[in-house]
Amino acid sequence: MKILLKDACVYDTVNRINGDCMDVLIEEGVFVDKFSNTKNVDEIDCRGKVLMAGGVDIHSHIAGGPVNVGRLMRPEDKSVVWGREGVVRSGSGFSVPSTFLTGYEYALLGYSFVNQPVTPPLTAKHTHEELLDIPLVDKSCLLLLGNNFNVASYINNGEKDKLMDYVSWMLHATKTYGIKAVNPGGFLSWLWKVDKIAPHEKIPKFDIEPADIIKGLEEVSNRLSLPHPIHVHLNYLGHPGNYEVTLDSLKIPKKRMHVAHLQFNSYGGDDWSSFSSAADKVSRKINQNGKISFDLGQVTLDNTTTMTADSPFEQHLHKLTKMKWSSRDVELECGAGVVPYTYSKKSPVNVIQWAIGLELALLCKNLGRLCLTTDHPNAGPFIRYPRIIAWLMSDKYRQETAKDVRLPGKKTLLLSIDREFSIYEVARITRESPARILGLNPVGIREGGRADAAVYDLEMDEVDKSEKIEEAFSRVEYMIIGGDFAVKEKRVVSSKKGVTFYSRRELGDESMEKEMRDFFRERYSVGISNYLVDYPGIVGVDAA
Amino acid sequence: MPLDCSAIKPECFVGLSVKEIMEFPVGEGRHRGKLGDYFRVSGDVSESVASQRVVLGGSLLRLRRVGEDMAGGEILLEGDCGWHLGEFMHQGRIHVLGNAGSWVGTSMSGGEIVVEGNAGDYIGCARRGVRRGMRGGRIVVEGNAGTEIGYGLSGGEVFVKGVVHSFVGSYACSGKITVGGVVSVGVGGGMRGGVICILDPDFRVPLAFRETGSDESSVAYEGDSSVHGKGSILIQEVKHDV
Repeated sequence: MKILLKDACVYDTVNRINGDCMDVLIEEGVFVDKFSNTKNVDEIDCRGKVLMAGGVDIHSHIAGGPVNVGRLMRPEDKSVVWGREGVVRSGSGFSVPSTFLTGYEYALLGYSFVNQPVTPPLTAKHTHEELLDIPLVDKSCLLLLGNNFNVASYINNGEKDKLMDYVSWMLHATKTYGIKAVNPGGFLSWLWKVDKIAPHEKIPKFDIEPADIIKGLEEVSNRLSLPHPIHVHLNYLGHPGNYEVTLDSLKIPKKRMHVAHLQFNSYGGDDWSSFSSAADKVSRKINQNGKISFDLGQVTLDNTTTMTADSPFEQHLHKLTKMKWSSRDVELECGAGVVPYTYSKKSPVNVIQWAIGLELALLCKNLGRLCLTTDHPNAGPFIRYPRIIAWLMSDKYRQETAKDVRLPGKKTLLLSIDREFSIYEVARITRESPARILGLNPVGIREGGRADAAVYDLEMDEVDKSEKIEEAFSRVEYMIIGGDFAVKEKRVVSSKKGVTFYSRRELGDESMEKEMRDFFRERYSVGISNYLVDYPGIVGVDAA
Repeated sequence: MPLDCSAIKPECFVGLSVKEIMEFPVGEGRHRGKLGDYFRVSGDVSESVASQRVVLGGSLLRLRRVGEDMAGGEILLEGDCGWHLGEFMHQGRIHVLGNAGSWVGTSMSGGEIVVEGNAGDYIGCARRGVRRGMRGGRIVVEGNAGTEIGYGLSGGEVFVKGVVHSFVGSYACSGKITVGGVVSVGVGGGMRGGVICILDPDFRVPLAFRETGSDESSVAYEGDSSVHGKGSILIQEVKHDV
């Protein structure tokens, strides 16, 4: 299939193309400079329209145990319903959409890759089945190890090689892409009735601190040269005044660490009544510290479903809101919880949370470390990305929203920041930065690059109109994934399956496997043969 | 297979021709059809919503979601109708000459629904998964009704002249429910506010409600004490029109 996108305004930060008008040629799934012949070329006039590479979402809960629990326990979330139309299948859900709807909605936003950040090892099989069901976009998932009993024991006993073998075997067994630690040590402590734990406090029944777990896992990640650095959801998430703990945690890594949804970790104040933003302090440290990359977790002020493997936090949230709560203990590995939550425009705390996310983005100096996310669906559903882009691109829109929601001006800095992102910068935080941090080695829009392209119906003279920005980014005019049309004239036209990536590992010897066999027989509720994941459609990528 | 008739409401028809109305979408299972395929359409179309009247005849048991989100006018159903009648309704009037199915007036905020026959379960209750149900308006059922009438009621009025089954007004916080009698358990479970009026002097109020006073025609109880609720149950002897 040959596609010619004529006269598009290309924004490609990988190749430093900033709004140049050019023709983009696609043949056999890749970008080319020249067609092999000029027969059967699908020519599309993109005069003045914005063209970007396919978007990459680094942190979005789109599949797996908690998401499914969210779907089950929130029938009221099904207000968005898509009917069946040709090849497009039906689906429903606003904050926890069904698998097919997830794929279509991502394609409509211009995204082509989504990283599922939380995979409890025991539910990896389920997560993969759901991921493979999501059409159009490519996926990867991260392995949850921050509260794993084995990991904690190995670190406790100083068995570094054993830890490496174990993590290596787990990545192979569960076909996952990288390592995630959620509230490291937090769940292990919660089992002994300790609600929250700082990075330099002892974990009950162990002789280690959460910082040791982060250090240990980071070392493993480096030694295995995984494409994605260790992905951490820090301790004290969502508690007022947690920024000091955050600053402490940022000092832990030796080489690289990705901090997920930093907004939830940048809170000042002592309690909910004196709650304030500490985004400036956190930003200052991040700007100085080259080892840290982060994503936003921007609050979008919607009714949504929070889901995280940070069970203690979900219990805390349930106590605050009295909403329905699901909590699960995943054998020796971790826990997970789900609580519905409404970020209200009338609540000063929620409004300050909204401002903190934007502050973090606007104060960030090196955009190569910043990724745009809502921590879907924790701070808001991913279909609100266009609105966040509009907030970032328009100071006027921010001021209007701040006035609308009565933002307490003294508790945040947001109103004093007049920075406005350009489209080039938006392309960077939604395309290049997440792709580089995930280790996808983006090639961008140039010969040989995989043909993922999103054409937005946004004329260049309209960039200062915020409503127009939001409208344009929420529905792509054309979306091409792997050289095929996914969206044509703002309608989804394909249900093609994407693939799931994992980090391929060469396992040294079989000693670990043998040990795990015994361990499973002794301790697990499932047999090891039901634990190993092997499906067609999961594609291995080699270590960086 | 049920028919999804959420397009059948007065404000959709205002100012259109009969031919245009025949083209309205109707869902049958996973297929999408046209109104004209299932109904014969005739009559005049009004220029304003308030004076628009829609009359549905024939066998209506398969119909779902008639009058969803309705904002005015009147719908008359000349027979028994299916589920989800007048969900999320704001204004206007729905009149059913036969029996109605379950979920009548779910989460409605205004308007009136009159059912001349019996009705099913979940009359004027909350949508699945939500705490707060009907917020305003009025539902009248001349016959009997099923379980969970007025679940999570937070305004408006439900009047069932006949008897109802279990869990009347559970989790209600405002509004008024009047029933002719209750044949099963769980009246006002978890109730925080609002009034349940039972027109049956022999009815025994659950232990979670305590008596607060009486006069010659009624006895009042307050509860549900297990949630420190301030709802009230009135047991009235004399039937009178509400």
